[in-house]
Parts: sequence; structure tokens; C-alpha cells
Amino acid sequence: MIKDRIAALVLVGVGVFAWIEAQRYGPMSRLFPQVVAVALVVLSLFLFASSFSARSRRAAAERQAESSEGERPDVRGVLLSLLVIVAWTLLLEVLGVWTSSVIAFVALVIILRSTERAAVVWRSVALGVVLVTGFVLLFRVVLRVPLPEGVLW
Amino acid sequence: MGSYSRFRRAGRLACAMLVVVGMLVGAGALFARGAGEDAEYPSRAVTYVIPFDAGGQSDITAQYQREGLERALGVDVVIRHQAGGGGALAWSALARGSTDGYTISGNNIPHIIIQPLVRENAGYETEDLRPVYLFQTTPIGLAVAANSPFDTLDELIEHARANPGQITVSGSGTHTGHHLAIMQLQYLSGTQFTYIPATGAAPSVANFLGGHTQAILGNSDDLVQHRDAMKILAIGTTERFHALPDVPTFIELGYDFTAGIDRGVTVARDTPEEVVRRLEAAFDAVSRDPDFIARMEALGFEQHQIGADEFAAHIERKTREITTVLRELGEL
Amino acid sequence: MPSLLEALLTVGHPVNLMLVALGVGAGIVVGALPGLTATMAIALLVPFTFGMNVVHALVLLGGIYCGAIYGGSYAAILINTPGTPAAIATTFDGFALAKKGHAYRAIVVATIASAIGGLVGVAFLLFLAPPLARASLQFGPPEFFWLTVFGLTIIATISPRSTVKGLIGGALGLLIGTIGIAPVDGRVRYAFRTIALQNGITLIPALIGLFCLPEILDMIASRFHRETAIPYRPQRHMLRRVWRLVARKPWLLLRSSVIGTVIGIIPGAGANIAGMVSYNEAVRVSRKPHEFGEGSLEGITASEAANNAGVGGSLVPLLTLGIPGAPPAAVLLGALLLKGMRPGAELFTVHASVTYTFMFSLVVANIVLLPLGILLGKGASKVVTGLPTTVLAPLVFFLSVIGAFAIQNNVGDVYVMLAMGLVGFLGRRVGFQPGPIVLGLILGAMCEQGLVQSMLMGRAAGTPVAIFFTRPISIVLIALTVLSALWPVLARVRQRHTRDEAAAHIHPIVEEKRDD
Repeated sequence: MIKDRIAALVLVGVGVFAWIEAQRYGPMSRLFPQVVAVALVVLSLFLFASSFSARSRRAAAERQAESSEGERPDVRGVLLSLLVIVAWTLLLEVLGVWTSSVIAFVALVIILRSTERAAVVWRSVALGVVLVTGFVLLFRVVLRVPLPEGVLW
Repeated sequence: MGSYSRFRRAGRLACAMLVVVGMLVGAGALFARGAGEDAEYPSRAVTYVIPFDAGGQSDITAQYQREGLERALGVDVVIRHQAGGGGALAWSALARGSTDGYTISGNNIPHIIIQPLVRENAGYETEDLRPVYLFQTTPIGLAVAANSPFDTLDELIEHARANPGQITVSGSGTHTGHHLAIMQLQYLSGTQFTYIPATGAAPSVANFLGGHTQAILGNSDDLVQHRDAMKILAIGTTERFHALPDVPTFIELGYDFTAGIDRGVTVARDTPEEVVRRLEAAFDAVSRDPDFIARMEALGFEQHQIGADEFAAHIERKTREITTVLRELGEL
Repeated sequence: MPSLLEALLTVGHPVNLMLVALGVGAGIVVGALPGLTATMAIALLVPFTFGMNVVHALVLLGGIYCGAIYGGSYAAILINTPGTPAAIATTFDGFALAKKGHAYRAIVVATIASAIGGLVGVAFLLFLAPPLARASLQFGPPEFFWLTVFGLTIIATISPRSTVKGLIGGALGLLIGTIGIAPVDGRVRYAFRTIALQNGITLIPALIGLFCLPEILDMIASRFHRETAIPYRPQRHMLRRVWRLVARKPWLLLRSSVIGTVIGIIPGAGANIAGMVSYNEAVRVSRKPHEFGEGSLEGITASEAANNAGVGGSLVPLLTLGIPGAPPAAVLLGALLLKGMRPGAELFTVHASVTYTFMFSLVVANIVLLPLGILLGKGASKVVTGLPTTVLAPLVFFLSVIGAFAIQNNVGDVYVMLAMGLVGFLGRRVGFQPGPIVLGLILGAMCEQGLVQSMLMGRAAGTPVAIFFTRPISIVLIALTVLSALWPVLARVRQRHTRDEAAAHIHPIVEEKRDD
């Protein structure tokens, strides 16, 4: 509910910004984005307003109950994985697709493991390296898609 | 605890090993490339970037050229597509990319000239790219439907002059060859048409054939293909076009301009002179192959054999011409 | 018709049969990988056909086209990411089924629907191509505009939890779609002088980002079977049961296939939209609309039958007029021209035997697709459900990265994928689904193009407003749009009505129960 309100305000901002930015464009290229921007603002304001209604409060409470039933989500895992994924993307061109993917793969396996049995973890790493190598070869050699090479491979 | 630390050790070991392996592979790659630079160009595969979608005219031509290029250069030629921004994506990448000549790109006039003129930041300037070879033109012609009341260009222009903006003309894209052609025709005849840009040649033809526009600026191959459904009023070549000998040129009819899409190949500006010459020679060999010429002409193209220097002069001339038209029409 | 007979004999040649099967198999694999679309699949394989003769090349490429559009359903079902944009609507129910452990059943349904849809599409191509192609030309800018507006009403169907959020998502998608070069005056919009945004947000990276990344992160958050694979349980008589289930819905199959074919024929619309429109209609007609989105086999059938029917449809204007009905058909056009075959009347006279061989090979491809798809689907669902998260999550992300890159050989697209992934992930926390955003993105460019082109046309003709409302096909589309937009209200009325009726009877309502 509070989330709805934040999202609605952010989207109102996006819409207003889009409208103002489009002022600079010619009549033909301004029309469509401005119409859409107005729609976005109106709909977001509606969402904002309706988040105060009793019905939406009830729905939010229900959803809360629903989500708390299950297991606690792995917030640490998600945040760390996100970090790895962002780093992976940034390093793609620097290190090359193979190297960066293998490193990220290992990092994710370590973050996501729930067992301490090394053999299992090793198996994941080995499988990952084989899959990455296989796909990189498939793309580079067979399909001739020039994946980023970077300094390494 | 024991198994956990064993896991940690294993993880660390894995990382260390990967780093070592990675460095070895990387060093090998660097060494291989370093050795390659000393050898005579080309010593490894050349990437031929097509700045448009697969299946388009640039792509088809490149697919035909590939074998001949491989023979002439003695290395693999890999065609890859990098469509986007009307070609700007590929050209801006080329302008900022390496100058070793292993990445070459298709060069389409007028796109490559107009984009830097009209966009705040197209990502490249026309001068950032070194022209290598000009091998082909797709002439652009103006046509009306077969049942149209207009039989000649003069009748069409007469009507447009009396009723400014009433004649709709279909074409492919904005700031493209078709768009430039309509601008030049308007500028030289003092008339006003309504140009309706489509997202490509095929949708433009569809708009025209469906009767949604009254006229079309079409590529020569489309005109040849659909000639039964239309009256072709004029074509943008200097002399009569081989596939449509009955169609007069714009110049013949008193409008002194040519309309077409010139296709060539280009590299980054600071590419070494001998590399440019090597590529020029390879493209020259391919472009003089009679079999290649015959196939291309059958598809409705006009073939040229224009080397780097003359090509550069051509771009300069075109740039002046285009700048004048755009300025006169208030597009700049 | 000697050429027909000759074509039949050529298709039956073992080499051609093998090439069809090979093409279908390769297409399925490429289509199943997120980011590698049918267009890419054909483009990547055209160079391989360079040295082949015309028949072999076309037969192979046709197989790839069919296979790839179908293969997109694997990724949709198994990891909630459409392998090709055509499979977007397949994710809605496919993944829900997979989560319940019925991935293989979903794939079998998709296979049967795809094969039947594909055959219907080819039948239209074989028997009605010339009149249909001529009719497709009646679709001008105003019709495109209204088609996209009609398309946007699908949002109500695919966001049952909150229509407002669906609409907001759709508007956001439309707005994202305006980034880049404007259709009429060529002005670069919302690029802030950056080169990356000048080219606009490409659909495929956005699609992967919005669907795939949130799914990976959710997989991680839910600690769903980390290292231990769930044992794969084969179900007995599954094939026969699913077949019976699908066969019980001939109208659904036929309707979806016809929708797919028609939308495939309209140049520029294509399978992406076909699947969603067909899904929308299926929900509307179904007696159990609440099941959609929760793992309805009808939903998968509607989407898959339509997108594969679109294959045949997209070839109708291609072969008769040289105007591709969809992006993969555009690449096929290039392949045809490379072989010196010019679409149009010539294809049906001079090259008739080759052309009919190609069409017949599509029939074969859709038949081959059944056993091949069921076999590969079994393998794929076994492997993917068997992979632990520690491998699956990084692997899916890895495939997303190379898929986003490969579409234009552009690293910028990988960043777009990542950015859209974050939008999708945060959006999901607030209850925004990726479906409406992607729908907006797909329809946005077409919608604006149709709008401004129509305005130019209207202004030239002196009827700036009337042009939108006076053309016959436009009127039909407007009526459909109004009906579609009002449908939720009508459905509620109908529901209340039937409930009252049921209450009037004393008999208890017996729910139809199936134990499949």
C-alpha cells in the first residue's frame, strides 16, 4: 500500500518529466508521447488515491498474510546476486564474456549454496564452467556471433 | 564446521585456479594477436558490419560479396548485423572502434551524411569514417498507381503546385534517400507534397499498393517488381536505367538531381593507408567480377567500381548538395 | 498441375525430409534460448545455406522458422521468459503449470497446439494466398492505429489483479517505446544526447530483462530447491490424455489458428501480437476465465496455435507480393532473393515447383514438430527442472546476457536488459506485471506510426478527423475495441446473471472435475 503510493508518485514524476521534455520536440513527434504521459499521470494519480480506500487496505493486508505464510525470502542472497549480476555486466567487455561469466558463475554458486558439502558445490561449478564454455563456443564458432572478447576471452 | 571450511577452501581454490587459467588463456590470446599485428594485413578474420537488418539490400549484396572478398583477402570474412538508429548504431561504434581495419562497415549515402547534420548527437561525424570503396547504387524512382489520373511527372507537379500538400507520397523513413529525394523535388519544382514515411521499403510499398498514398518514391527493385501495378514517372539516375529503359530521368525532365542510395564500405578514419588500399583492391576485384555484376543488375541495382579517393570526393560533393537542400527547406 | 506433383515428390525425397527435421530441431533449440528469436535463427543460418541449392536452402529455413517460433514456448514454460516474443502469452499459463510441476504437460499442449496452428496457417498459404494478400493491403495506417488500440485492451485480460496497474504498465511501455528516433520528423527523443538511447529500447533486451531477471531473483529469494534436483516423475498415458483434452476444444484451436493466420498476414503485425490477441479472445470466450493465468491449458493452446499459424500467414504477402508479414519473413525474403527468386507472380509460374516444395515442406515441418517437440520437450523439462538453482540461476542470466548482446551485437543492449530487469524486479514487488509493459512497448511504435501517418494522410485529403472513423475495417476494429474494453463489465453482468439462475434452481452446482 505504501509501496503503491511511492510507485504512483514516482510514475507521476516520470509522466510529468516526459511531458515537459517533449515540449522541445516538433508537433508530430510531441503528440504521442505527451498523450501517453498524460495517461500515465492520470492513472498513477488514480492509483495513489485508491490506495487510501478501505478495499485496497484489506487487499494489502491479505497479501501481507499470504506472503508471510511461506518461507522467509532470502534477501541477502538477492542483494548479493544483484551485485554480482551488475558487476558481471560491467566486466563483460573488460574481461571478455567467458572469463567474466565463469567468475560470476562461481560467485553465484558460492552465494546461493545452502549446503556445505564441497562435492555438491564443486559439481555446480564444474557444470557451470562446462555450460558456459559450451555456449560460448556455440555462439563464437558455430553461429559466428562475435561475443565481447575483452582482454581475456 | 569441518565441511564448511572445506567448502570455503574449495571455493577459494576454484577462484584461484580460474584466475590462473583465465590469465593463461588471455595471455595466449594477446600473444596470438600481438604476433598477428606484425604480419601483413590481413592475418585474421575481417568483420563486415551491415548497419541494417538481415534480409535487406545491404545484407544481400554483402552475402554475395563475401566469397569473393575471402578469395581476395585470403582470410575469413564474417558478416554481422548491427541495425539501429538508421545505421547510426554501427557507424558510431566504428568511429569509436579500433583502426586496425579488421572491422569494416557498409556505408550508405545519404544516411551517413544527413544524420550528423540533423541530430544533436548522432554518435559520429561523417568525417570520422574513411570511405574505402563505392560499389552500388539503388536508384529511386517516383511512381503513381496504374489507374492514377497522372501520366507524366509534369502533370503530377502541375497538380501539386495548384493544390499544395494534397498529393501523398510514400517512402521509407525520414532523413533517408527517399526523404531527400522528395525534398529535392519540392525544392527544385517549388511544390509541396505530403511525404508519408514508413518504417522500411516493404511497408512503404504496401501503403502505396493498398491505395493509402497517391504516389511512391520506391527503390528500383521494388519498381521493377510491381511495375504492372503502377506508372513510373521518373527515376533518379544520370542516364536511363538499364532495367526500365522507357522511364525518363529527373534530369531529362528538367529537375537537376539524382536520387538513390549509394552503397559502399568504410573504415575508421585513422586506419593505416596500406590497409585501406588493400581493402580497396579486394573490393575492386569483387566489383569487377562479371558474374557478380550480372547478379546484382538482375536484382535491380546499378553497379560501380569507384575507389577510395573518388568515393571521398563523391561524399564531399553530396554533403554540399544535401546541406544546401536541407538549409533551403528549413530542415537545418 | 505438374508442378504440384513434382513438388510433392521433391518434398518426399529423404534428403529434404532430413533437412526439414534438422531445421525444425535447430529452430527449436535456438528459439528456446531466451533472446534468440526466430528472426535471429534464420539470419544466423542463412550463410550456411549459401552453398546449397534453392530447394534444400528453403526447406531448411522453413523448418527453422516453424521450429523457432514453437521453441519459444520452452523458455516461456520452463523459466517464465518468452524464448521469442511470439511466446509472451504462453508464459501466462505455461509457467504457472511448471511451478505446479506440470512443465512437461504444458509443453505437450504447446506442441500439439503449435502443430495444428502451423498446419492451419500453411493451409491458408497454400489455398488462399493471392486473395488474402490483396486483402491485407487494405490495412493502411488508420487500420494499424486501431489494431494497436484494440491490442491495448488486452491489458485488462492479462492483469486481472489490478487493472489500474496493468494500464499504468501499458502506458509506461508505450512511453519507453517512444525513446529514440521519432517516426515522422526523425527527431531523437528522450535520448539526452547519449548514443545508446538514440537507437531506442530494443524489444528483445527489454523483454529478457522484464521477464527473465525478476524470475531469477525470485527463484533466489524463494530458496527454491538449491542443490537438490526434484526427481522427474513421468506420468502415464499423459500424451493420450492431453491429446484428448486438446481435441475436445476444436473451436478454440480453429479460432486461435485463424486469428494467428490473419494477424500474420497483416504486414508488420506478426506472431508477437497474434499470440496475445488469441489469448485475449480465449479468455473472453472461455467458460472458465478465472483459470487463465493460473495454469490453464486453454491459454497455452490459444497462444501457441496462434503464433505458429502466424508463420504460414506471414508468408502469404511475402510470397505473393514480396512484402514480409513478420520480421522472420523479411530475412526469408533476403534468402529468396539471394537464390535469385523474386517474390510475386514469377514464384507461382517460373519457380512454381520450388515454391510449392517450400510450402509442402512447411506441412512436413509441422508434422515433424509433433514427435520432435515432444521428445525435445521431455528432455528440456527434465534438464531444466532437474538443475539446481545454483546452476540454473547463473545459467539463465548468462543466456540472457548473450541473447541481449547477440540481437544487435551491441553491449549497450546488455545494459538495457539489466536496467529493464531492475524495473521489472522492483515493479513486481509493487504488483506490476511485465506483460502489459511489454505489450505497450511492442504496440507503441506501431500505434504512433499509424497515428501520425493517418494524420498526414488525413490532412492531405482535407479530412483530418474523418479518416480515423470512416474506413470500413477501422469501424470494425473500433467496434471490437469498444466491446473488448467493456467486456469485464459485461462479463460481470453475465456472471451475476448465471449465479442468480443457479440460485433459482435447487440443484447444487456440480463442478466439473478432472483428475489429470
